Amino acid sequence: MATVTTAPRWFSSARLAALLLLGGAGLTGGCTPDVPAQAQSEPDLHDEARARGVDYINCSGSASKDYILEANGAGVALFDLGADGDLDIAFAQGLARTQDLLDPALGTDIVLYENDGRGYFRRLPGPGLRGWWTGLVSGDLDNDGDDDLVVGGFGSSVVLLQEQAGDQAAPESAVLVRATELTPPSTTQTAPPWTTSLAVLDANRDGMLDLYVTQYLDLDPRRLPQGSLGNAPLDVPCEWKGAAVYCGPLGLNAQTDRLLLGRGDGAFDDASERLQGLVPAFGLGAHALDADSDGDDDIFVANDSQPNFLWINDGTGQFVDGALALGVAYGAEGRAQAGMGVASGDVNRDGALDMVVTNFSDEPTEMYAGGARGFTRLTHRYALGRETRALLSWGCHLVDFDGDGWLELVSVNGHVYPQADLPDTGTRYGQPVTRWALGPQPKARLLPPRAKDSIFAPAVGGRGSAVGDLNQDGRPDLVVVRIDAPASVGMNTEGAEHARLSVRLLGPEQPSTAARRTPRDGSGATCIVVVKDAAGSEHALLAETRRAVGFQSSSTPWLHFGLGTSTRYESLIIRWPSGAVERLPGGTANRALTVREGSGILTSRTFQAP
Amino acid sequence: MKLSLACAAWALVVLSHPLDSPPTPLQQLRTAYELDLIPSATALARTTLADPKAEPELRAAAALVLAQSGALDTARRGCAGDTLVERLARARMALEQEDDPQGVLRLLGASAPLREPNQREPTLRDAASAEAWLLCGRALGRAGALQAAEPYLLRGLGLDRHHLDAPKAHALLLSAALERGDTQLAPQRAETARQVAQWHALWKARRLQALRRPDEPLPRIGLAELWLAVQEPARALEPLEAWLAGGERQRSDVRVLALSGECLRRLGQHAAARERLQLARSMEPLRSETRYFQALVALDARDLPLARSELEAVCADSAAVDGRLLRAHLDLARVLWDMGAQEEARARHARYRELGGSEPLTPEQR
Repeated sequence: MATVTTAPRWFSSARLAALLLLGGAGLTGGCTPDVPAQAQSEPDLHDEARARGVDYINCSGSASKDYILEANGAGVALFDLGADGDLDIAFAQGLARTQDLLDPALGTDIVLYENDGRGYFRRLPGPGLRGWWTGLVSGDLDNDGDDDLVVGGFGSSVVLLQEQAGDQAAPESAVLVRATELTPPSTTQTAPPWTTSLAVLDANRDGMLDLYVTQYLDLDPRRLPQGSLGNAPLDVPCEWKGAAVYCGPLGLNAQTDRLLLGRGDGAFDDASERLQGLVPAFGLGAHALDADSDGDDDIFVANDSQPNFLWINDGTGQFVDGALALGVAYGAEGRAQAGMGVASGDVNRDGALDMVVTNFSDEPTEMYAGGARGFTRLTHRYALGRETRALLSWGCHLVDFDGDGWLELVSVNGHVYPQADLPDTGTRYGQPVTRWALGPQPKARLLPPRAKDSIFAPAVGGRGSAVGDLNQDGRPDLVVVRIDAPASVGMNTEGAEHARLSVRLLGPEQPSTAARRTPRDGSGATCIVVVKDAAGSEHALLAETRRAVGFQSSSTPWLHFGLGTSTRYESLIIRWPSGAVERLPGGTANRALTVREGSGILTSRTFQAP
Repeated sequence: MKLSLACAAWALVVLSHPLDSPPTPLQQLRTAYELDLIPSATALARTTLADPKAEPELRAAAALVLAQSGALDTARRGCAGDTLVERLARARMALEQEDDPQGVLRLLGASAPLREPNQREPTLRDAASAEAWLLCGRALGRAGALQAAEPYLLRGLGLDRHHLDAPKAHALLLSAALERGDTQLAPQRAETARQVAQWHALWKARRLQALRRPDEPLPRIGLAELWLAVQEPARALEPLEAWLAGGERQRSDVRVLALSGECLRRLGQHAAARERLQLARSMEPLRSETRYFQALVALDARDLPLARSELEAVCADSAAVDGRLLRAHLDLARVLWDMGAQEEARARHARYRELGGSEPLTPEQR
């Protein structure tokens, strides 16, 4: 049940005093807030976290990042608490020191914010968890029509089911009930399970949401590795570019991911044996998508310093790893990369999902074009090698922020090593969130911040991130978790000259008896919007309903399309997970449509004024 | 194998200098680049590029270090000459820092493979340079022209199979086979790519360890073993000789002496090998590895009785179950066969199989 959340215990008066002495400027260390400037002017994504009531400050261990757990930071989820139709926010949270894991009393809760419907937030009591929390994902896990939440962490992961205490749809009447502990069945591993990203999908098309649980590595808080790994004299120093850094992941033991099949009531059964050839790996990012356009849910997993997985579904929920055969396991030249986050979207508007995967510094953010014979790497043709090689990137999204009809790539960046700020490393510890236009020209074009308060301006490292329309003005906004710093809430004021369409796809309220069913929350449903441009030629915009996007985070279930200068759309084609395909007639732009399988458009409303 | 000048320069550098002499600036720069220890060499790189008299080879190495540190413009300006090493360095920058495959091809004088991807005989201005071929192949691979990249990569690997870029080249060759659906070649290339990548990863790790522990012979022994594993005894000998040149303590390391003796044997320098191994034996008479290497010298000389007695001693030792001595069991079985002791040979071969060996006993069986 929900409990009252007090101020984070690490934000002590002593820390506050220290911050005031330092003038509050810059990033001064772990768990210490940064103070962003407030000034809105040019069209941009303006960081209005403070003004909108989001005062979350991430805490992720020591500022010196002595151990690997401290470097990965936290995720964020946008989900509808109270079923009132807007997006509320949940942040994962860590502890002040890795060693604090040894004292269960020092565990922390996740942090919740309630949206007033206009994109202004109020902090809510947390659900009363105690731990070090990493990843989040939302979905209707018990098929009751509202968003539930899964919280991944170091040591334990839990399912929180949303229940409405009253008749009125409102966040304050909702409670998140701890339903299930996702503890691995096997006790062979001595170190605690460390979950990073979580993805919801419907693996076997039974209409009940399943979970992919990404696991990272064995870290024993009682025996934390430091200095070097292995036995002298053939031990390997924990170094990066000659500087001593925390140890791992290489040299530590990887953990094994899990596939959990949902029973439709918030409970899950381990079905990891359905992942044929599953081996332990340093998993960081997970994203469900229909990678081979065959109508089922596949799963891409970005592994750190090891080959990525691409679990290809045979349609019944049995998976084989197709990453190598489909060209996404390794970097272009055969090296396993340090994969972090993953997102998909139709970048080149050819009707197939493309994919981006973020990686370490000195490695590019990879872009793969989907096609009939797997993926084609477009990274270097888009010049993303040059654009991203100095960045260590985590969360990522393919979103049309400016509404021109072409997707943009956003990556949330920040180095894991504070030692990146030593001279001549070629990179920096604090890195800005970056954005590139990916079309219509087939080259990535950096979109620099325009406003002083742009979310893309401060060089403060980020980790998790989520996209969603917080103020229901039709423009997708961006929430970013900054490591050891206040979160950013980027309110989108771009593309006033462009028309947009928002679509929410929902499965049937009552489960059907068909062999293949659509989950009630529409997870996995695909929407194609046909648009005619000024010259009269048509193009199609494609998007899938996916929550787990980027790194350890969960984005909106709404699909946001930019229609450019078109004032209407010609038609909607919806491919439901059940296999049904519906074609709906066109209509005027600048509307938010809710469509339920078999029932057509349920609601159609105009956007709110920002 | 004949190496091009540019490739020979990339061969193992820093660990071949004696312990009591500091590495040369070129060795320092190359080691920093190859082992990603860039900050340790940026000051030297800046000084080098500021010196108008610096040799092109040094300028090229300095430029690569600076480019990797983020100072790409300075690196390019300081390495603007038309010598091969400078063009190679600029081509590498164009490839790895700037996503400019056309720039790589232009700098290295490649024929127009992006416009004519099906040309049979690619040409290059510096056809003797493995690195030039490999960089062009990598550039084509990044541009998505895997089939056009293939002949370039094969030419480069033909000139230097151990080049630093070899793992990348093998990975691209695998991608090319996969792209055209060559199901026969792809598995072979996958296995080669895996082995080469593993070899290079170990090689880098051992170099780093040797650098961090200059007073410890094991990383150098590991390096030598890696070179021996790919039939490069001369390269294997380098780090061992450098160690032995370090002083009295280094010269009395039995492990290094014995392995250097084996390197000399493989180079055909039997007298020197015998001398090394005898010295090692005199220091530690019962060491199995030394005796095994001595048995191999005896085998080369077709002195079967001596080889047999040494091999029997090795195989009787408790250390003989170590995988490193597995081959001694096979060699003993074959010596016995050649000496007519067939029953005994079969028994020894059975023991060899029991320990995990898979090679047949006789040439006929092979």
